[in-house]
Amino acid sequence: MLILVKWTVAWVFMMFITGYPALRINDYLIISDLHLGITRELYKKGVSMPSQLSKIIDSIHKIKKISGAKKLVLLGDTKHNIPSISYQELKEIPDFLSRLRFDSIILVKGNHDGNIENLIPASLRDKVKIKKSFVIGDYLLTHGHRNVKTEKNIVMGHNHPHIRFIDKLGARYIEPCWVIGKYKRKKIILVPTFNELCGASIVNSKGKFLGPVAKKISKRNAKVFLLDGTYLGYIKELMDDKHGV
Amino acid sequence: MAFELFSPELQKLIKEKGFLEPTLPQKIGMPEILNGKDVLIIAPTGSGKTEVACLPLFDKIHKNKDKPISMLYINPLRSLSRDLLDRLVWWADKLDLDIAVRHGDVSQKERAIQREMPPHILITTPETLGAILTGKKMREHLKNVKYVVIDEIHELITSKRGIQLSLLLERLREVAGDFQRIGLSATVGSPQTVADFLGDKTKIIRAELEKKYDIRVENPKPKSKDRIIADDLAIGPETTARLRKLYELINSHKSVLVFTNTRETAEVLSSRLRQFDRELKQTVHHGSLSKEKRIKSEQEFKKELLKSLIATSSLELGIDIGSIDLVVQYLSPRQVTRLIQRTGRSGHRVGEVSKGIIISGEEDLFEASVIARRASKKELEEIKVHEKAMDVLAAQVVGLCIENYEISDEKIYRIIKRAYPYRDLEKKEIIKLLKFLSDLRLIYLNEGPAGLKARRRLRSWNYYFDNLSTIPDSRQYKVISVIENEPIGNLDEGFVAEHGSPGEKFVVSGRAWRIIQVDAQKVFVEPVEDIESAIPAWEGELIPVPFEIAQEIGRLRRSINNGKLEGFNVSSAAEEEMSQLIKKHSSSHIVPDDVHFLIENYKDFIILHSCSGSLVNDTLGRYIAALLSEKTGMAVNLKIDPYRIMIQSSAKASDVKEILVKDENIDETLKEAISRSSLFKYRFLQVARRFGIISRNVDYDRINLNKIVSQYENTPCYEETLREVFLDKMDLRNTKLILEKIRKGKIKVEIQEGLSILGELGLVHQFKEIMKPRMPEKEIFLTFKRRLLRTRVRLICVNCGDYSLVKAVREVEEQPECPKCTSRLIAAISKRNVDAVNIVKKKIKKKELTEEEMKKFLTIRRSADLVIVYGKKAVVTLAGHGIGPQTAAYVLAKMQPTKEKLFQDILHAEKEFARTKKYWK
Repeated sequence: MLILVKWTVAWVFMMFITGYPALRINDYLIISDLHLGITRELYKKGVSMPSQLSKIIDSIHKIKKISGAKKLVLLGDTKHNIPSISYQELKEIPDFLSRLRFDSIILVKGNHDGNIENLIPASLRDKVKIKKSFVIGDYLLTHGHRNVKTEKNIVMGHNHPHIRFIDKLGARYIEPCWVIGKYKRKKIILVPTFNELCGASIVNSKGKFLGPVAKKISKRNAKVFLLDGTYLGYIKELMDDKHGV
Repeated sequence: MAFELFSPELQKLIKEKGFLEPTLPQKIGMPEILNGKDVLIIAPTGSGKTEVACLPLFDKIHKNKDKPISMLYINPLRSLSRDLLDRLVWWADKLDLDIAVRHGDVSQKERAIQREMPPHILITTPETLGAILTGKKMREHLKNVKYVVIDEIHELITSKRGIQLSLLLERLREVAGDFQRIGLSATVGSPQTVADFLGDKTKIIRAELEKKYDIRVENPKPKSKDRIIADDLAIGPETTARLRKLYELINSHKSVLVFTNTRETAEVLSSRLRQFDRELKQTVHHGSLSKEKRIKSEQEFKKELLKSLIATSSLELGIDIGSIDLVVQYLSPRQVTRLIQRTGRSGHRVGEVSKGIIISGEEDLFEASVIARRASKKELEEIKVHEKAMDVLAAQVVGLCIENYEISDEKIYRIIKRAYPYRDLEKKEIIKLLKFLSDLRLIYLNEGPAGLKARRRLRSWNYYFDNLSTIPDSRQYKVISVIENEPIGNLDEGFVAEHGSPGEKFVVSGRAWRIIQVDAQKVFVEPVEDIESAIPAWEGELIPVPFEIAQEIGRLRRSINNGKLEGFNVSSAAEEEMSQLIKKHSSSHIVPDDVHFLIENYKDFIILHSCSGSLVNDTLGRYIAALLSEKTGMAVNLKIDPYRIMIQSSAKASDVKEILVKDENIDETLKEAISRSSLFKYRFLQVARRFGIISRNVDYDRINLNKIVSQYENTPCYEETLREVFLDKMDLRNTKLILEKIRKGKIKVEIQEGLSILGELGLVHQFKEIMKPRMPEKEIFLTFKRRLLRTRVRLICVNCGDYSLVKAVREVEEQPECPKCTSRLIAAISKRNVDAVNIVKKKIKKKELTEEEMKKFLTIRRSADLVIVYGKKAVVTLAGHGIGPQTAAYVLAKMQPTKEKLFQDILHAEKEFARTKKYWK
């Protein structure tokens, strides 16, 4: 299993979990954009999907074992429906949190997480902490829908980054990916979504990244990695009109 | 005498109606029905089947004073209900019985009357039975049902509608108790299966054996004058000869029904016949025409205002269309059952001989001869029933929950298992289904001490009523040629799903096309010359040629090759033509037959000749393709017909032979290959609709089918799709049989180089019938040029802003000038761009422009810059579809030496636009 290990000045241990949209910093496992109630929205569009809950919990525990992390950071958009909370979420989110086997859980608030405080069961009040942002070493973890003032590297979600390949015949394939951008000599890492059913934003097409933080990333010097660790290069070299046409 | 068993009242009516002698089915059928037996009556159309079933039952209802609703008459065709009612109402009235029709089109008012005052006899469809079973009041009336008649049961049984009906009857039995079941069927291949389907104590009454068919095969040869006509009609001389034969046949008979295998052929035949003779009264009839149009031509044909109807399977069964004295089958009917059914439409009256002629020729002649022989011996194809279809079952289980509020798994299982297609269902399968339905939130499922209890919920109703019908609704795509920028035909959704990716080639409207782009409703294409690798767009309409028939054709080839033709009843002309073909082929290659397979190499094609029928070849072809693409690491193009598998790949012929000889796990390879195919995804979509996973009015552009499929892996929905594909499209059993024969050396496989006669026929023959002579590149180009020059553009003077005029490109001067200010700064823009002139004026008056307006102005300005430099050439270029000033500048900068070259570059730019426009949005 290929593991990328980065040692930075502040002696922070960080690794991307090969094959999964997750990374570990020190003792924390970080995943983002679970959008647990998305099946409800899909149903309204006319597609009925089985609940993703058990599948997601199983894969989180699998990654926990691989990475050896003891604590968990949910990097925003844990729930999906806004402004109201759907019946499904009312049932599933407390269930989800209580089934996770971590020493502590940091719930970073995203733009879909209004009133998520009310969904935390009383028995978990000590274990689950809700934060707007969270610092580990020289990394600041935030969802990315709001601006943050910081001198640190930023790890954020919100974007659901995907890369699009177009083959000679025009067939298109979309793959989730990591984006590592730069701003004022600091890194900004975009974490891919954990839920396969979420919509995708295509990084190698025109337009900027989403949110005030990611907007600062220039596509010229942002690197793209696939989940299995393949380094694809800078985004500007991968733009849609550069290949396939 | 059958009639004497009836009550005196009915006997009197029979006399009044003028029935003197009972027909054969009446004679043997009526007493059995009076005795209360479950009966399957097999009789040809027109032998009074309806009366056989209805008169004894009416008599019983009348005598016993049964309470309504006493009898259900289930007919699969809604359009036939009126006809039936008209036919039966006379008897019912005189016997003082109420009779009514109920189906989807019956008004609310009428339904309300039926609810309050139910009729004794209800004519309905399977779908409507599903609907009324959930109604509280109607269910109360249905308790009295004692007799159920199922019409056209042979049609129902092979489709999912029939499976649905088998379950509905068991649900009805829960409500009404046992009832007498009567099935009415046309001639079928496996009567016992149909009887079992109806019920386990069914008695079969065969009254079709005396029916006489006179079927001949004709192979008209082209005469010298046909070659001249052929050029006029833009068809081949062989086709012309067949057309002339058809014309003669129509003229020498009173009323002729012509059947073709595809809509496309029907259209071509009708249009060419019209060119042949404008006075001949004939028209087409097929499924893509509007209902009104079809009904109109049916009625005109019945009244003999039309001499001939050229139809597809749309007229195979159903309404009475008058007395037909000849049925013509144009080219091989591909199956015996179909030939019998079609021929049976002539000589409709009792005792009359049904007369049919197959017009055939060339390779088709082999198939036509074999099928004609089998028809005369009445060797019909076996019936295939969908076993344990989970999607149909899902809706019926939810129906049971609605009916009962709460129901135990045990009870559901007991009811379901009584239905023939589910006789082998296991308890664990129904439990898996129940859990899946509960996961889909279609029912509640509670685990109690005595097993599972299923209960209805709000969503149950929506789901159930959305899925009353198991018939998939299929959309049509418009095919647009980017050259003419005009629609050239339609494609079925299923075809687009299977073959609709950019770069694929197919044949429609007599030409080969390559797909450039597909959107929600349209397929954009450009013409190509390369017909060999194109797939016919009507492929989905063709019914498969069965294994047995293809094998017999192999035997026929062998006996012709050996010079002794025994047991085949063909005319000497046909024999002559067939042996000519075999002789020509055998001069260079061995003749592939039932015990010899031939593999030949031609360009990048590998052709495997295998006389094994459509389904086996499809199965074998997909298997070979999967292994080849694994080996070469590249996609493999596959095209099959009943006698050949044609593979386009970088692999070698010896690789194919190796696959055939080697013993591998074909099941797993196929399952894997199928579940990745677009055919699977398309079928999954339909099954998912029946499971309520995808609602019927979903916006297809907004869902990602791959994601949905992967989420449902290993659920009943996924498994049902696989099962359906394997039953409908594959023949694993016979494929294994063939492979085993090859391995044991009973079938010899030989490799030969070069293209054989039979190989060439495989690559191009299937198109011959509808191929126009190739439209030369030049012709395409001229069409494009004409269109471009006809295009109307708006000319605006950017200097004074007072001049704005819409003109066709061809009328534009070489160097356009403003008539008002004589400036040459003229912009050529879209004629729809009306506010352009205002923007220009605003700019000239030095008024402030908004950002949007500025953008528009710049485009106009750039256009004018081009016109001032290049003159009319710029106007022509800018008139191209999707070409703006930027692209135009790029095109014009090439400084084409000739006008022709310029047009070519414009055409190229247009194609590029069509290909990429999706990404530009």
